[in-house]
Amino acid sequence: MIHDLLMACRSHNPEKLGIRAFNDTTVIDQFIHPSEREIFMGILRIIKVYQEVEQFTHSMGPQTNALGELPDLSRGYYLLNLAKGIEVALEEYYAEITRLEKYCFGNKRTSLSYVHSALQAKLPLLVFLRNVIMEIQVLQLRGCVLLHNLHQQSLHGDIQLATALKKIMKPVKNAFFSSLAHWLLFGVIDDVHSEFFIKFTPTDAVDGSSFSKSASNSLMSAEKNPEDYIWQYEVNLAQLPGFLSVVLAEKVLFVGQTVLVFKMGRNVKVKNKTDQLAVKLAELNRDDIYQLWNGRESEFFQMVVDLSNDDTINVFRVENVINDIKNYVSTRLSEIAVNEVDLERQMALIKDFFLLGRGEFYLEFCSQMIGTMETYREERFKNVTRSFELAATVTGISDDLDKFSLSCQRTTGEPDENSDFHFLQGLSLKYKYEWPLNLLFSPKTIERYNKIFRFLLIIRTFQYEIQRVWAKQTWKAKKVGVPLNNKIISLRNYLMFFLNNMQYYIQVDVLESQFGILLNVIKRKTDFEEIQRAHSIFLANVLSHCFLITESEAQMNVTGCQNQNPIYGTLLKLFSICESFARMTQSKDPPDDLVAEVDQLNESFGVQIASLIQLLVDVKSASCLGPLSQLLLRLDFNHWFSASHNTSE
Amino acid sequence: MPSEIITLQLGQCGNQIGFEFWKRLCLEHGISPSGVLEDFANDGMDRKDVFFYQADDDHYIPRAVLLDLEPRVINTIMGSAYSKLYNPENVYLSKHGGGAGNNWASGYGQGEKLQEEVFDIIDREADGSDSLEGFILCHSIAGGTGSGMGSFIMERLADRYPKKLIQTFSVFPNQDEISDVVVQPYNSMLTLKRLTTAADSVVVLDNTALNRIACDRLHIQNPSFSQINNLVSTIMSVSTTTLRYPSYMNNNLIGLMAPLIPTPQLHFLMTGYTPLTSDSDINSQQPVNVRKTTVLDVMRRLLQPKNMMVSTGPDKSNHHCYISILNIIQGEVDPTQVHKSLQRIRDRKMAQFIPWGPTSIQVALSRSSPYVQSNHRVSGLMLANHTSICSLFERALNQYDKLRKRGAFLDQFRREDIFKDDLTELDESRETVDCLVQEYAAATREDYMQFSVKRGAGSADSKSEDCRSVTSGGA
Repeated sequence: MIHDLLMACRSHNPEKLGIRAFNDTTVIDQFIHPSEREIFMGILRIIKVYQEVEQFTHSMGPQTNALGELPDLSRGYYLLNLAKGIEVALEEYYAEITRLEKYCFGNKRTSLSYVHSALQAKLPLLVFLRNVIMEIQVLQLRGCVLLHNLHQQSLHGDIQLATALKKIMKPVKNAFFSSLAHWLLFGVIDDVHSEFFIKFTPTDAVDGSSFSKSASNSLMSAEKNPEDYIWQYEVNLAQLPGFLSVVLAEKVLFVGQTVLVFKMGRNVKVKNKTDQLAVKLAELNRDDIYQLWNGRESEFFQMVVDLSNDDTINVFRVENVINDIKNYVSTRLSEIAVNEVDLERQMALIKDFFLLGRGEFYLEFCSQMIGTMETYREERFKNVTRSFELAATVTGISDDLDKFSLSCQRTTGEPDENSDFHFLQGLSLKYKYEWPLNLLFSPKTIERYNKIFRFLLIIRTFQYEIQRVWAKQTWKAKKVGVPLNNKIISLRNYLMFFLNNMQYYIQVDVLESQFGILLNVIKRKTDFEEIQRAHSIFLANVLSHCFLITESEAQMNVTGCQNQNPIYGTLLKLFSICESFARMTQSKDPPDDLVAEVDQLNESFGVQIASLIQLLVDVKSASCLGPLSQLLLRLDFNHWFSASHNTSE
Repeated sequence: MPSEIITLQLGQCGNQIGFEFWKRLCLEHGISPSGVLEDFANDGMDRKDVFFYQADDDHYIPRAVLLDLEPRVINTIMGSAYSKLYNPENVYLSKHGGGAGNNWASGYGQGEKLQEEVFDIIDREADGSDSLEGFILCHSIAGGTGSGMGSFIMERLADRYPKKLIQTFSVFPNQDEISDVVVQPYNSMLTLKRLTTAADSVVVLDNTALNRIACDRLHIQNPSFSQINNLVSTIMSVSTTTLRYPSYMNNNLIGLMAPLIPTPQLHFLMTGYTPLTSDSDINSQQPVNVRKTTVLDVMRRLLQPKNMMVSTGPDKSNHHCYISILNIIQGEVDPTQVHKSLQRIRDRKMAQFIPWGPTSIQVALSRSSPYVQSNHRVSGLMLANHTSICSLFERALNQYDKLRKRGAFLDQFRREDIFKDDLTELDESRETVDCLVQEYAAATREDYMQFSVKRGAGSADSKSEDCRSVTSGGA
């Protein structure tokens, strides 16, 4: 009887035959003395707990291999490893059963209570295991988060349970650290079930359908557009174990991306060269990744291995190791970036062209563009690129410009297809960055630059138009000697004043000062990640100071759909006034009611500028933001707009 | 190359300051006196092509036309180290070499006779540029050639090139010393009319103020011509830096002038430059102590009347104001300082602005030449449109009236074609200048935009006009 019971204790039988035999039949009533029934039931309860645990390991565990089936991996390697770990932890229990068996064989007089008390000692372990399993199942944990769950319990007060937990954790931990090591050192993620906290999300819709593609597959597809695919790796917050901070996860991501960039540099070189010499050169460059690690990869690998050999996860040590690796990588990278590709020069180019630093070039571009637009209005989409190239040739800076190209998307379905404004909104500048600056210029970054670029170009173009109006009127006055209409002149002056000060504000108060900060960081030759951070701060500041995104968005780093900044909305309205004014006064046959229309524009300009000033005043008093008061100061330097606003009220 | 500018130097004074200007440009662009690009100047960031054209790989020739009716100054230039710099075909000397005898009418008449030859040169030069933007004219308004021939050429240019800008650097005579040119008031008046009607913008270089600045600021007892011309060349070169170096704004003459000139008539600009040091001889290569000037220092000092290169006389009525200001700041500038300075200037009300429109101090940060060592950390030039410049014209009117009442020295004018029949040209000029003074006076008032010139208003009228504005200013 007792032996049967002990057999039941080890039963792997999924049907729980061992216990059911006791429960279903009347054996308990017939063979067990009523005084022992409670004890017997107690033992059964313990067995039940065990079986719950066992059922989990059985369903997850590798034992199924015996049946010739592949283990069901849909739930991931981490659960599999957890099952392994639990098996190991159960060894203790099995050992106890084996001891009891031996004891029973050797001793005729064995009591049920002896067995019970022996098993009772193992109950906490079993209950604990069951709780762990239940929690994981209820919360449906998988992947790295599972490890975090285990880690949270690793400081259990009960030494017995704490050691058991270490055993459980070990395989899970190994899996985690090996993923980590692969990513950090080779930029590889072998993560079919997306369990790691860094994931690869293909952006193109076709590939995106199969979410759980293997890493090798993704590498294949990535080679199609090697520039972009590193940006498809991102931190998967759902799988980020709590013991790693987001900052740390970003660092891990950064290291992996850097490695990828180095690998990519090699790939690109090999692929592109066909002639003999170039191939040889490429072979010399073949060890780009070793160029990065400089023979230290084994050292770093050992550091990660050491981590996984620890009994528990020592958060501080993990952080230290990751920081060490990151510091090494980013210092290497910034050495390369600053020394070999001359980052300062690259940034100056960015400033010259994306941020319209080369005013004379854009002036020429404006005149080319507007010149062709007047004659071939229909073909301007085609011509704008030509104007860009032409302007470069004329100003003699084609060399600097060969990394940039202008493209233009035709915005279909726009209500006002003819408006210059919408036309300009469709322009975007492409920049061919030097390897390894890929890390600085993600597609998102380039899009942000383009946003600023379009904004500045709009100001510049309208400024050019208004200046042409000025010139035309000045010459007319000189020639005819007839005094010009005062209203037209004063509106022209207002518009010119507005555009000029807008531009001075952006170029001097925003761009020059923010760029100075960025350049200082680069000049200090700090590690690359710091440069990267300074760069994104630079962009965020410029965007928010140009009212292209709202302040909160800049902080949250969200790039998705923007709810428009009210100031930006007002600026857009002012731009459209500039446009209609320029068109009205430039047209060859001005409408008869020109003065009336100018009056109307004048009025709406008054309304818009007053609301802009009011907005700036409100925001300024609300949050004492520097940049807003700077624009306000420039626009309202002689209290003209604020004064006229007050009188109109 | 876009936005080319052709420089015309006329007469003794015009050729002298023009020569200084070109010397300065050569230094700043690393071009040797013979027009060859120096070895150290190969980085090519600057825009030499606006003012020079390239003859061959490293040979640059100024887009300059030198005109004079007497050979002295041009001979000095052609005898100097810079003789090979200019295109010899662009140097025109009248064959008789007798000059204009400090007579506007003579200069104007000779200009008319020589116009074909002169415009052959100018047209050729204009054809040689891809997209000519305008002309810069250097001359004085008091003499004969610069004022008379300059006036004629200005009128012809405005006719011939109606879509090109005409900017002048016009030297006004020194009022503190007795001039040897007795008809100077006539000459000035006649030239001022052309500056008002034919030019698009006039940078006034007032010899009175230049001498005063040389005495007071540079502590030179009797400033020589070359010292004064040095000041002038500094102003001329700095005011063109945004055209000659890559920058984000004010890249062409229109971009520079349009924000400064709100209405076509108000196009007389004053300049100021700071800091000035007696050792501003740019040729001295010895290391100098770099003065640690700041943006605020520079911007504040530029607003002080004593640094203005125009002597407007004390503004007793205190109603004159700035129509517009452009500061071109060079040197190591912390861009955040610009805003702080603007704020300070506004808070302390250091400058008074027009009451009829929005205006502010525009600040352009400009690169400076890498080849010329500056002895200041920050230096700045102010181009300002200020209503008090009309006091200069009022003074000219007064002097003219004194002379005209007596009918003095009119004989030498009557000898020339333009005054053969009568002297209406003089009266018309006087009226134009008087209207200009009225317009500047009106620009100090709120209702300027409703202003229309009262033609033929006598001098008494304009005075009462002034009185009214004084009382309204005081109220």
